[in-house]
Amino acid sequence: MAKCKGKVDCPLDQGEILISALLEHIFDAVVVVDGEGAIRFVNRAALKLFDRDAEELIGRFFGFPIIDSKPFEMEILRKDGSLRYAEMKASQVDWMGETVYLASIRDNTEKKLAQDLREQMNIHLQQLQKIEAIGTLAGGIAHDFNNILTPIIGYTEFVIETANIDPVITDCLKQVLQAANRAKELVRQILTFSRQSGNEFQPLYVSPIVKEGMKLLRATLPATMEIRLNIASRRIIIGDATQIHQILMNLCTNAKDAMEAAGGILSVSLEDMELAADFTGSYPEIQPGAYTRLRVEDTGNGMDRSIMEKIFRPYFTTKGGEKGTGLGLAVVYGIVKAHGGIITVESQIGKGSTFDVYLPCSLEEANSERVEHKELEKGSEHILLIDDEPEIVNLNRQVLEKLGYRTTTRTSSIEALELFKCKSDAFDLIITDMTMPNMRGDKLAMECLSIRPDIPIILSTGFSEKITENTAREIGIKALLYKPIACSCLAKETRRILDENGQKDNNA
Amino acid sequence: MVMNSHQKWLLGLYVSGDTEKNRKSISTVRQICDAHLKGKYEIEIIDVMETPQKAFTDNIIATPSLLRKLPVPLRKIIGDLTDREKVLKGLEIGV
Repeated sequence: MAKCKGKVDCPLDQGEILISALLEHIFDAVVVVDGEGAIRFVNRAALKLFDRDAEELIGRFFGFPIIDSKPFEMEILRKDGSLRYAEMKASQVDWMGETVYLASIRDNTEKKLAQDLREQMNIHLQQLQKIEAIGTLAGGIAHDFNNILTPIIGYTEFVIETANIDPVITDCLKQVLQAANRAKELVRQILTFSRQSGNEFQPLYVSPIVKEGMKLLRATLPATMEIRLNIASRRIIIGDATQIHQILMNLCTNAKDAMEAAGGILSVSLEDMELAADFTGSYPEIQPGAYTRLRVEDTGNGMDRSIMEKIFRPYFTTKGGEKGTGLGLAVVYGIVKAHGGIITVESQIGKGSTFDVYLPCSLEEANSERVEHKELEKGSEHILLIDDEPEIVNLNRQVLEKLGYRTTTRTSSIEALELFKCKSDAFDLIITDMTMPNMRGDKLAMECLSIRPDIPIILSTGFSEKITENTAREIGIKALLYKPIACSCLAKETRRILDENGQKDNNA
Repeated sequence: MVMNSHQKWLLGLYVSGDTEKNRKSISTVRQICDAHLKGKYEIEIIDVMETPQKAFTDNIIATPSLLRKLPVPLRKIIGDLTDREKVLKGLEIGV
């Protein structure tokens, strides 16, 4: 029941008792303040809003609410220190012959929190859209880059393999090839990073991921920052390369931001170690055993304990403006957890911070690509080559003809289809590019297979997301080759697919 | 309404968090003080989210609040502190 206290005991007549009873059921808080700023009346909603008893409020010095025609946003401080977000509208009324202030206060806390959450999610969505746009841009640039690298790698390899030239010149050409292959790998890394990847956990070495990641990072760090690297790990983990790459990127980006004002030293180390029970005992998520530790250390601003306790929370950030989404470390935390590891942090204000990521190691063998140099395999079959880039289709033609194959080339997918409709039996293999105007390679493949279901098809693609190995298999494509395609790879896969198809025919 | 012209004014401005609205309120109150109480005032800005204990000690249960500790009597206003006229009237500063 609402309480009332006036200068004298306030005798309420029947009308006032009725009004008091009505006010008790109003949704909004009602507070009446007298000419001295003291609370004279509160309804039940006010007791709930302030989280106080009537005895704690009645007679308490509240102050004078500013009279305005519009509601005003304010905050209510509760006894437990929490805040409620409200809006208040105040007016002056006559209260038993005395002018008092009547404040009507609406609790908007739930509405405000929902709005804040919506804004956070919008910001998050915008960031995701930006990242997606960057990914699309990276994909486009990489496609063009791969088309530039293809003739560089292809013709250089072709000359090395087939031309009778001075060994000194051959060595020079090998240097060219090595540099071009590094560029190819860098493009692949950028595409891997910008592409969404599923949780494809497999045995992998962390060392090359960290080495390549630091190569990318080096280009983005200012000259005022020194980088120190110590990559000494030889162990394998079960994980996803893209996600490990992201851990490194996010931690190093934070370190860079911490040192932006005055520069400093960024130290990244990767070491194998055995974690004993006296260490793992503090972290229930892990067991004693073999681990690889990635340490990212900076000499930046450092953090105090109150900040360190919050850094892995989503949307928490100390960075202003567009720099901080508050998601970087939350993402790192999620990835580390998904890999069965832990992340720890130590920091000192003015000295810097150290992040340690411990990842459990595996005894399985990692996949490693070995390049075996052997003589390119030859053939005599008739191959239909399609690519809208004349340099690439010419390169492939020269490589395959040198190996003894017969080739027919087209730079238009429409013309190639028309040719195939007329002479489908003339060809033993189709090698087509994916991205072409008017009709994409996958569509061309489907059309050709509808004409002749047993024609083997190899699709060359620029590592884009438009087609995956599974999708290609479902269409009926026998192999997917990623540009830029090395001569040896083209020769090997051509022979393999032809042999498989020939074997099938023999068995039929 | 005008107090003793030599009287020292001691004010406490209580806000919750560093928001645009609160920054505007602080700016308005400072401008009013500079215009009408130049050289005679001291103002303490208290963010109750950072120092909640101070809010309880000073009997603050709603923000934004502007408390006139001196000259006496104690006077507190709660509401839109970006409105100059209302703040002047609320603090009883003569115009």
